[in-house]
Amino acid sequence: MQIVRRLYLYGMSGITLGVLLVGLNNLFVVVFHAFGLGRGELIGGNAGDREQLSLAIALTLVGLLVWTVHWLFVERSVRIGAAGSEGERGSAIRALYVSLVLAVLLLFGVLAGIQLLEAVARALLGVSNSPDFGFLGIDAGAALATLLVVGLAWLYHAAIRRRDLATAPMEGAAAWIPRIYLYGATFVGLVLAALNIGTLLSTALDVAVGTGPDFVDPDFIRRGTADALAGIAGWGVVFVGHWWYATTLMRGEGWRASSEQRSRVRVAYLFAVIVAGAIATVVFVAQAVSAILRLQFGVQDEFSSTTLQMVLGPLLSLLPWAFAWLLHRRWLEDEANMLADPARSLAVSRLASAGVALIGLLAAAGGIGGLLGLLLDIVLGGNRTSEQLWRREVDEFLAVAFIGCVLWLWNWASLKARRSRDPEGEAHSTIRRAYLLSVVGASLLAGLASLIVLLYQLFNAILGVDPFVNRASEISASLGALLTAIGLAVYHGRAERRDHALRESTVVPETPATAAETSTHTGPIEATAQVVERRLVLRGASADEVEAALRQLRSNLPANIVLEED
Amino acid sequence: MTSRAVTSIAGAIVALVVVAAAIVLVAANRGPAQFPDGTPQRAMQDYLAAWKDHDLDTAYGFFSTDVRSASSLPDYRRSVDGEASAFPGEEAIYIDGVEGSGDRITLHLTVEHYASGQGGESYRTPATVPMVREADGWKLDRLVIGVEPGPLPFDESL
Repeated sequence: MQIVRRLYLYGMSGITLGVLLVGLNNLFVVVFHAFGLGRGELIGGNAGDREQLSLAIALTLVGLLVWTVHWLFVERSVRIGAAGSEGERGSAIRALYVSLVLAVLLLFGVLAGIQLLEAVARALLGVSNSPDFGFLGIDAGAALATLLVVGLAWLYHAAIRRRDLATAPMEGAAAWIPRIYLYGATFVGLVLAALNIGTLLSTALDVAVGTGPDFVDPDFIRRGTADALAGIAGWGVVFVGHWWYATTLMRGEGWRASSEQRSRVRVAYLFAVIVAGAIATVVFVAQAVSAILRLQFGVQDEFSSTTLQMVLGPLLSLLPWAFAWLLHRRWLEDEANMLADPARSLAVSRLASAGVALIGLLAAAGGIGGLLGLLLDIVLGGNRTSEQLWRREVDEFLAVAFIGCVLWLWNWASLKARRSRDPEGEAHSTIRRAYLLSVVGASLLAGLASLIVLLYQLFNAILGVDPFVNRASEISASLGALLTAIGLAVYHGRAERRDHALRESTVVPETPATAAETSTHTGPIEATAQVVERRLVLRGASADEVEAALRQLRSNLPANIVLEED
Repeated sequence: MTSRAVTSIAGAIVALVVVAAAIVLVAANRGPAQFPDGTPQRAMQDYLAAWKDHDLDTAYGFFSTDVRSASSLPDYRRSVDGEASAFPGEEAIYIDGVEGSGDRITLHLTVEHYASGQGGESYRTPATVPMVREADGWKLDRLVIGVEPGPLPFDESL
């Protein structure tokens, strides 16, 4: 019953908040335009301000009325001292509502803020708005209105969340759902800031080299620079602001600090940045290596870029990603070490290595599979190499295979070294097992898809379908992929089998290292085989009653169950 | 942040709506800007006034000698008839800026189109109009239908 009530109240609050904010946004747009902000002087025609105003007032008043009524009910149910207020504050639906509202408002606010920054940067750099290239001037009035309205709404909801956190400890979904917003915003801010930094560095290289792309408007460089600067500032604020808040929480005191320190969402964020850095490394290094190979093999480039731009451009774009990767790897390890928990330190280090090894292996498999396909095409008498295009394919496959192999070998060597040092511990590691099984599973799926293509072509040949195609060329790519997939599946499958045999033969199946991967529990029960943890909240009318109930619970616990207080 | 805060927010929003409505209603009565005689903005404004009144003879007189020699008045009329939908209806035209100096400048304009009735949505499109100073004042140096570029003159030699 309570869940249905919550769904109704928060659902209606969300919808009507949207109506209210759209109305307020339109209202501010009309007011700012009336003051001449965001548009020039009226020279002809009739301004539609009155009609816009009517619509804005209608949306605002209806949205305000219905939102106020529903939000008052919500506020009454979380008032300190109200019956069930703690349950309301700690409900997953409330956490989801606040997180969603914060995320949506943040997105609109940042986009509007970046538009304003673009307007300022373009004005400072003297960029003209040439309609010949479809560039419309930025409506500063509309952007400012959106920033103002969603900014105030975001601050209000952030204050609501802080009030909830200050009232009582949050556990379960009420803790991790808002954390997904917090670290999600941090991640998106970092990724988009890094992309804009890469664009700015590439543009700087174009300026230094003195060439720009063909067939673009005369302000291309300045427009790109202004927009990249605005993007860096806007998304940089999102990243730094959210990361600073999360890290301040973690380094603080009380339940919030300890909850943040043990947070898996935080570890997932740090891991996601490391993986994103590895993906960017594959993409940009492959571009640079491919350009070098093209030059070496004398392959013509269809773009008018210089050698320096082709090689140095991708490497400059890689810089922010590489920096973010190294920094987050260090933070991941430092934070695990800070907890003085060797098992956790080992687990996060293993996680980082396995993640990067997986990315490297994917790239290496793609490159090697492609090369193998071309080689088989030559051997089987195909025609894929009869055109000049194959040289470019070879360059790209070689480049991707090269950087993929470097990343995989580096991290796989690290994982192998760990296994040599502690075979049993590694054999029981969930992360290592997940890595090996992911590779085996992905290889099997890729192999099956290739096999389907091969059989399809085989039956086509038997049944005489399309007799004029070169059958060797039709199957060479799939055959290359199949052989690569078989190789990977066999190699990693054997590694998993060795681990499995070791797991079967060991007396103590779970090591402290793997215990840390499956649980954050630190009590005496950690040495046993399986640790299952479930957090409960005990409530009562007074502290004495709660204490008495706790004593009773403890006295009735089975021997292998431990009850701990935070 | 209690129920009182929510009612305060609601009260503030209602007050804001009243103030905003007053500001917009006062500003909306101002009408188009008044530009001094002899300026390119004024020439553009007068051209648009003639265009809006469908006084094509007068509007044609605001084009430069080069434009008029390339497109005759009947050509211009045919172009306008062929582009009937471009005739300004529910739209407002704003001058965003003037680029250049001397006898040749470019006016940067924004055309704000808005739909009447339900929805009341609006969208904006940019436009530029080159202007040239001739003996009898500033003229539009491009054939435009409203402020949209008109068709290229028909070359009879082809």
